[in-house]
Amino acid sequence: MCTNNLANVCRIAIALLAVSISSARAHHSGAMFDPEVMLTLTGTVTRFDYVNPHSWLYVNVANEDGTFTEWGFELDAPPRLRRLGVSPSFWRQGDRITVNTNPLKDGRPAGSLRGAVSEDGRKFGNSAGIPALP
Amino acid sequence: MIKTPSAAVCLLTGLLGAGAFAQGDRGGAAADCVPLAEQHAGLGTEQSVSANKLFTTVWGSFELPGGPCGYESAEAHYTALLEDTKRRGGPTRHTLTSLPDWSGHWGTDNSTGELAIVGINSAAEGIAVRLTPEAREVFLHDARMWNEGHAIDPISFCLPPNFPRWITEYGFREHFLTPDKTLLGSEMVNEFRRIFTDGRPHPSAEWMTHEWLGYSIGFWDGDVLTIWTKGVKEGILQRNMPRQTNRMEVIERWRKVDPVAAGVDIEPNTLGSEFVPDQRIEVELTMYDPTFVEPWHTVVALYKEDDRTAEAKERIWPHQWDCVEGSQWYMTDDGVISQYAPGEKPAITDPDYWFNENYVHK
Repeated sequence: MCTNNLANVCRIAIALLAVSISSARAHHSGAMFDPEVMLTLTGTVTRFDYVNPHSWLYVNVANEDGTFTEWGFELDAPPRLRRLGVSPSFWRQGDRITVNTNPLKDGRPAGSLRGAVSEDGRKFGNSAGIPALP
Repeated sequence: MIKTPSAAVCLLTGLLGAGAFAQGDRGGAAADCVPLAEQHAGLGTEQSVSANKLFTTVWGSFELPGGPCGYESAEAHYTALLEDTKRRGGPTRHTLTSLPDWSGHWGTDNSTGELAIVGINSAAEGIAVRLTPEAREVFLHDARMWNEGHAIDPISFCLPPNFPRWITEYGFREHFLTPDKTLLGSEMVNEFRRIFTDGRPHPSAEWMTHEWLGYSIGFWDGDVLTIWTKGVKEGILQRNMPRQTNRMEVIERWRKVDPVAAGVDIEPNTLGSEFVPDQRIEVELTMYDPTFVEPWHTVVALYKEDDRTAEAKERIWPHQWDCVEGSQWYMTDDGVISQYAPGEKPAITDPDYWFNENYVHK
């Protein structure tokens, strides 16, 4: 199901066994994200917006033709991230990162962030299947 | 098999003249009153804050107040509690120094945002038996809409969560107590409820409107704050939960408890935050709505964030909740709801966006 031609690093498309974030935890319904598809993308952090009602992590991902596409990944709100120990500087501009995401169903470059591994090995959420960065 | 509740006609008659209105008093119930928990014993009886988490209280009671089927109205419930404290010399007229200490930052001990459901489980069939037949059909219809990806949640449209859903949401909470008015704050949508304890009644019909948080009056009985809220908006109790009408009225009783001194072992769901083990606020909450076959009684608890370390003082800091700025949500003219991808959302937080000579008020 990795049909988005912007992402050359689409490696995994698996059916999720369970959606771990219940709808009641989010600000909005997650119906626009495809729970049946998990993309694993690698790129460079451009921005981490630590704001209510949802924080967003932005990552520049290389395409096959050598161009880059900036992806946006939605994650939880600051009150939850603060309790999890994720600070506004958990990801900084320029960090190399690999993420697991349920992408938008319509193929635009955004998704729900399920997990991430930074170049220094720091992990967030469901990082299963993410290989160590070279 | 879900039975049709007969408690819809369960009205408590002569209750206000019964003489004793202490919490848990079962006098005055109509002879044909059969509590839902007794009608549907097979649906589950565990005291739980969600379908998968047991919930223990230090003070709050899961027993329906006012008798087997509860009080007939929020007004009767509030009046009974007020008369009860008056018989003991109350309500308590606190000073700034005699008020209980609810300072600090608090979180809802609740992993999923559900309201606690007692005696009846939180699966759809357990919720449905609480509703009138008409409301049950609406609830099951809404559940199907959810499963099909439709948006039926005011929060999804950047609106407030409504009350009493307010108490189940997940931001940091703050409480500011003064003798005549208490502010109960929630980080979500920067909301503060105002509880007037100066003896004033609710606004008259001339001044009453329907507000996201309603209008709340209350009184102190020692360290217990009793609140009566009305004038709320139509909404939903939570996602995948029933709707509420704007005629819902709610009675709450708030009290800070000490689980350590009480010998009650409680491990709140904090998402990893350290908590203060000997401080906890328990809230008994009874909802009266014409779509319920009997009052819906529950207990909600708040744990206190432990901010005694320097690390915690950095971390525990409520944020502004500006949904216009922070949400990437949008809806098209033909009803498609989705999220902006990078570069698609207008840069509304950029001052150049505001000072745009192409924009004209007409």
